[in-house]
Amino acid sequence: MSDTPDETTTWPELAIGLYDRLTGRNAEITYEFEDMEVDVPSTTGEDPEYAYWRVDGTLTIKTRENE
Amino acid sequence: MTTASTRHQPAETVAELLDTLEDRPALAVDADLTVHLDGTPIEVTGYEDVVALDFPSLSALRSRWQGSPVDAMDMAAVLSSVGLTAEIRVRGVPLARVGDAAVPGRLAGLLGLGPVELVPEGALLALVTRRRG
Repeated sequence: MSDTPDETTTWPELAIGLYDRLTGRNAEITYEFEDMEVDVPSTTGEDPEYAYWRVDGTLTIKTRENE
Repeated sequence: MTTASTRHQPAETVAELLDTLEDRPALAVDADLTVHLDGTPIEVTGYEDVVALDFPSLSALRSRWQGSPVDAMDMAAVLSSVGLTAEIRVRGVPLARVGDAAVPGRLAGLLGLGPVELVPEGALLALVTRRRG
C-alpha cells in the first residue's frame, strides 16, 4: 500500500482534524486525563522550546447550533 | 489523471485556519481540568460557550500571557470563529475576556493587550482577594 497515514504537523491542522471528527455527526468527544504529562513544543519548526504540561480532569467538546 | 482525494491542503496559518472554520458550527466545551504549565496550576472550567482559565496569582497570569506563543489577536479570532469565549480569572475573580462574547475596550488597546475585554475592578479584587482554605 503506497498511501501513508495522514500525520498532524501543525496546531491548525490538529484543530481542523478535531472539527472534522465532530462536524456533521452530532458527535461528542470526551477526554479523561489522569495526570498526563507532556512536553508541548512552541512551534513545529526546528529547535522549538518546550513547555512542561501536566493535565488532570475531563474535557468534553461537541458542536452546537449557530444562534 | 483523477484526483484520489478531495482533501484540502492542511491549514498552516491562522488565516488559513479561519478560512477553513468559516460557516462551521460553533463548539461547546465542558471542562473540569487542572493544567500545570511549567509548574503553574491553572484551573480550566468549561461552561458550553465560555471557558474559564483561573490562575493562582496575577504574576502567574502575567508570566503566562507574556510567554504565550499565540498572539492575542489570533487567539481572539480563532475563539470567535468557533463561538467560544475565554474568561481569564485570578483566584476566581474575572479579569478579562477574549473571543466571541468579549467586547474589547480602549484600555486594553492602550495597554497593548490586543482585542481583550478588561474587567477593570477585577485586577483590584484579584490583588486584595486571597485564596480561601
